Amino acid sequence: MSQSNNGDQSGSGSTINDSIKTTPKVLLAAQQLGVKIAGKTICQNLNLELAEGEVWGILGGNGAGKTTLLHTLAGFRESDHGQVLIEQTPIKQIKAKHRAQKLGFLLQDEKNAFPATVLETALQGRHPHLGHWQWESAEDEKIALQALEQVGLTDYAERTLDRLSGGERQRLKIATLLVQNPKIWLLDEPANHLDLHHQISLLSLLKEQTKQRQGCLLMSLHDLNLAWRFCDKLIFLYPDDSSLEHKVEQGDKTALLQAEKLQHLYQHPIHCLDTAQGKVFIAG
Amino acid sequence: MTLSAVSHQQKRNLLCLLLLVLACIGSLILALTSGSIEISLPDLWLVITTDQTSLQSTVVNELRLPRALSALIVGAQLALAGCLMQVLLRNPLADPYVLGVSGGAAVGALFSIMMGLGSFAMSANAFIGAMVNLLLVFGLAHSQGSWSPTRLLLTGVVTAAGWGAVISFMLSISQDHQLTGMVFWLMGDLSRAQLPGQHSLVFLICLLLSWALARPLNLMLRGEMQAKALGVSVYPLQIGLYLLASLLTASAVTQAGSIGFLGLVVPHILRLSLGTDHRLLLPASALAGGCLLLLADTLARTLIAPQQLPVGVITAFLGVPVFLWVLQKSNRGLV
Repeated sequence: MSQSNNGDQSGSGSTINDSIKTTPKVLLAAQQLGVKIAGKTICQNLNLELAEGEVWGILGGNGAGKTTLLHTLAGFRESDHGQVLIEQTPIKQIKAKHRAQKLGFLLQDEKNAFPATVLETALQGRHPHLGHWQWESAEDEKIALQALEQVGLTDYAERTLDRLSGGERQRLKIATLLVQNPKIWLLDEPANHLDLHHQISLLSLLKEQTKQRQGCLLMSLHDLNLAWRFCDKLIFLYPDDSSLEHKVEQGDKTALLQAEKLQHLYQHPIHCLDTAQGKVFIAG
Repeated sequence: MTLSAVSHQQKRNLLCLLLLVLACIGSLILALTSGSIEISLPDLWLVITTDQTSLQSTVVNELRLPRALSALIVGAQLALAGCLMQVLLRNPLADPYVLGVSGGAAVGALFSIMMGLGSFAMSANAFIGAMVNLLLVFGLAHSQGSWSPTRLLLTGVVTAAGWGAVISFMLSISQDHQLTGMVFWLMGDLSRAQLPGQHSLVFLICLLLSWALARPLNLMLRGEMQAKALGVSVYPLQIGLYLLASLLTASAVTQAGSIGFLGLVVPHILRLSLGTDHRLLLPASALAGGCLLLLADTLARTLIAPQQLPVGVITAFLGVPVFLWVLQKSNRGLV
């Protein structure tokens, strides 16, 4: 819409542009979403809107359905009812390749039947952007090498995957995602296998990329301190036997990261301490 | 690490393919010139370029050329099918026969031998047997509506075992004079080979189709979910792979019986030495497979001439040391 108004010299064009800027665009949305796995309900009638520049976290105990919910939001599995929308288009109507241009996913586990090299693997992130018969260009390679540098794997470019440690493999997956360069980032436990330094530096990098590219990010986490530090908003997936009325709760992190709610979430006492370095969560 | 790693790799790929094409041409010339009647290179040139009828031209045009071209096509089909199966099942032990295609074909072929039918009926029945297996395994593995490599593999392996039992049964009740033909068929035999007209068409179409899928295949190696996440429509790709690999195997088995080993080893030798990019691996497998089978067949009919050896024996004799040598030397990891 702003495009057509650019040629128009009147003031109306700029007011429309301004109004678009003030309400951030919703990139990924769930409407009345119901998700079930093996007869267990993960959520029902979930409405969710991930807008430009937002970083979201999913918290919940083991088996609460974090991964299943993420897979449903990515369009990898069917929802029980309701739908998922990418920029207002139902995800089911989007071709896999077009979806991958907009939505990137960090999987929890990965298999390798015949290991490729680190550079080849990072280059695979270009797949959704290349034509059918097109080969990776020098430009694509530059993007891949830059991503490897960002995750600190430059020296490993020629190594095969079977010779990487768990943390290095996790960093390579993040590099592949940076190469894919989507607007919507869904990350299933991105902090897995990472040492403290890399947890902070890579989550900072991902958050920075999200803000810079006006994208949105949703990640499942187990570490409350990381959630507090990096997320703007949170989704809590409460266990079934919780005394709370709703199984799913969403909101600002300040509203959700409260001792009482966390106790319900993990069925375990959790203390919130205010320290000079900020809020700290400790399991009781 | 220079910036031109990608273009360097493309040049290397082209060079590899060129070398393999030359190797194929070399083995073809060797196959046409050697045998009980030695034909020198100038004579071969004369036979090909002129239209004369001589003993030499009959030997070349009616005996050696059909057999040599069949060997090239069958070898290429088996190696390509093996390469595709290994991706589909994500299992390094997969070969073209692992899902029972050869078993189905063998039952069809042995049935024809038992009934005393001609070689055309034998080929037709072998092909029908392979297709029955294709549908059977597909239907059984698919009956739950979902498909995993492990489920497909188990269904195929068990079906193959079933065919094996039927084959043993047929061998045990057949008459002595039929047994030699049956055993030769089972070990793989190119002596009945004809000019592979329609089979080369099948091969070329399958090669082009699978080559078009090469980049998604690279992603499939990292698991179905990862491929999905990077924008591959996994399920149609799996069905396509299954059909392509089965069709190639069926066509190869129909021409030459079940020649073992080639489809397992050739893709591995190339993976270990050239890497995992299927844009190179697929055509390279086809060329190397064709070349290896042609060399093996030439040896099979000349080594202890006039007696012929089953070509499967020679492929194993050639393939085992080459494979072990590459495995020892390679610094690429396996799984």
